[in-house]
Amino acid sequence: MLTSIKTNSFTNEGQRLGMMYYRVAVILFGAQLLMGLIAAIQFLVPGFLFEIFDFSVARMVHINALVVWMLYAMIGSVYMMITDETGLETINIGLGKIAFWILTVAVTIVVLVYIFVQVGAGTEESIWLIHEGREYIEAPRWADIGIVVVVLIFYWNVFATYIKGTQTGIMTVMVANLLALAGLYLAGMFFTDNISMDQFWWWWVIHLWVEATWEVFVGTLAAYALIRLIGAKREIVEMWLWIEVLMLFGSGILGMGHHYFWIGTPEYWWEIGALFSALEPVPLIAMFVHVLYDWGKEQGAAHARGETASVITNGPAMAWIVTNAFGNFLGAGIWGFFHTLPQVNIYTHGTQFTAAHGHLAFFGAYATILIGMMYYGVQKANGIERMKMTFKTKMGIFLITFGVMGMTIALTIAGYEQVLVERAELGATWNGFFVAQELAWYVQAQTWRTVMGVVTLIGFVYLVWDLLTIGKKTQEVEA
Amino acid sequence: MEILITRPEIAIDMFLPIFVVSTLVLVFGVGYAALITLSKMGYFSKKWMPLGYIFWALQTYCLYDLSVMIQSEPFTSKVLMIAMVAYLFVPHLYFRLIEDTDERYKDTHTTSNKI
Repeated sequence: MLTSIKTNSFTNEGQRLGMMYYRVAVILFGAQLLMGLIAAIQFLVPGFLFEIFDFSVARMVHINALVVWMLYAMIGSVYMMITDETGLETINIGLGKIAFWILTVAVTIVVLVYIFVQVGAGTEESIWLIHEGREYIEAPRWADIGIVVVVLIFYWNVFATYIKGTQTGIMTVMVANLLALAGLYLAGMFFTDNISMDQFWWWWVIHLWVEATWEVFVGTLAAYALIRLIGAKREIVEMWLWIEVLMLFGSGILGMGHHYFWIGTPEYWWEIGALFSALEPVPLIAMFVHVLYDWGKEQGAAHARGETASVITNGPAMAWIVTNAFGNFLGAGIWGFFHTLPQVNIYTHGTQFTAAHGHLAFFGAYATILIGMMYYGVQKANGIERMKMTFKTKMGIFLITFGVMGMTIALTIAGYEQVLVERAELGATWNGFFVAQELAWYVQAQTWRTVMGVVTLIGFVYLVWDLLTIGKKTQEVEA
Repeated sequence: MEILITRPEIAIDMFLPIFVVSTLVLVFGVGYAALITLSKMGYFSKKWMPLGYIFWALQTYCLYDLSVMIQSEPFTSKVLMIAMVAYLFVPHLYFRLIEDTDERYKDTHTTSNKI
């Protein structure tokens, strides 16, 4: 990754720009973990960095950095694949590079403002200049407008190249899905004083991103990666992709009802939310089977031809994509299904159950495949035919996965204790909240969450170290 | 004031069974899909397929049990059971589609963007 800053073997400008996005994504990923660790310590020691770096700010930067690094890595992945898919150099790539720098400068300013202006009244001025106060998409309005402009430029790059070039099934899904993904951001851009109405539209962004358009995006990346990494047949992969799109949108769009149970929306959302949420794990099972099926099939076909070598041309990327298949099912599927039905959700929502689901789902469904795509970028940057896992790759995967699983289990235990004590026994009262916070199970669970956060951070160090060195090391071995 | 929503009362000792059963619904569900797919692919012997159907039956039972434990409306329980009958056919339909696609494109091996 480091060598690709100055010299690289990229065959097109789109991939160069994609790597620029990856670099910023990795920096933001690190910031996300650091902020998460500070917030985790503050759960245990509430006075830690009090009035220097408050919990509210650490948490805000933690979750905003998460969303932004993933969006950076997604945009990077699109630039990484667009020329391969369309057979054309990205149209107006110069404009795309300007947009990259505008976005990066804007993100830096927004984060600095979050950090340096920590306390103050919420006013019309603060909505425009400081932040909007909506979880995950807290960017102030000036930045919102800037993001829209940058995304329009990005979309133009992709759309114009797609229209002029070869229109593969993968790119068709990508272009249509990106339009929905970008368009949905608009629903989160206006502020209303009515909290129910505000939340109603806010979920259009959050839910329809992470449980519809982002999942389709993952399906598209997986399809592309399976073709590139194991030589899967395009026709088969695209057939899977279309079915996944059908199932993901079929269940995911109305599955949004599970966020409308308790925010003042009509009661019919109970039935709609329950039924469609119950169906949401089905496409995740399909995606899980898909990756393993294609891998097994291609390896089996290679063995039948008498080839003994693995069909995988990029071990680290494939390892992360297989982790994605498991992680998506576990994090989004099982931990989501735990508390998706209204009768259970009334007790669990807003507890650490939600945090447990959020950690494993974001990691399993998105972080894994985006890291896999970064390894693909490193392979391309170094012009490597076949890239194998190193010790650092394995340590990165193991420690990050183990750390996130550990955090998830710890948070689940904390959430379970909250459900029993805070919600069921003490009836979701103000007093119940504080009683639950001080019980031994909760405190111990938060301690383990912090320990596992440190494990994740160590894994991240291995990951970055590997991304920076694996290309050159493999080149030396190949030479 | 008219009460619109009554909170479903779940006994404290019922939460753990609810979380366990909801996990089992998906574990058996993925087990069913995986066993049927792998048996049809030839990785497992066809003898494993009955075990796959047992997984489906267990999944259906767990989902029913879950709907009872969380005091679902009878209509919702019925819809969930109909969904489970539909799920019985999903891996077969899926595999059929793959086989047909494989058959149609068996002489091609398109990994590039030239379609």
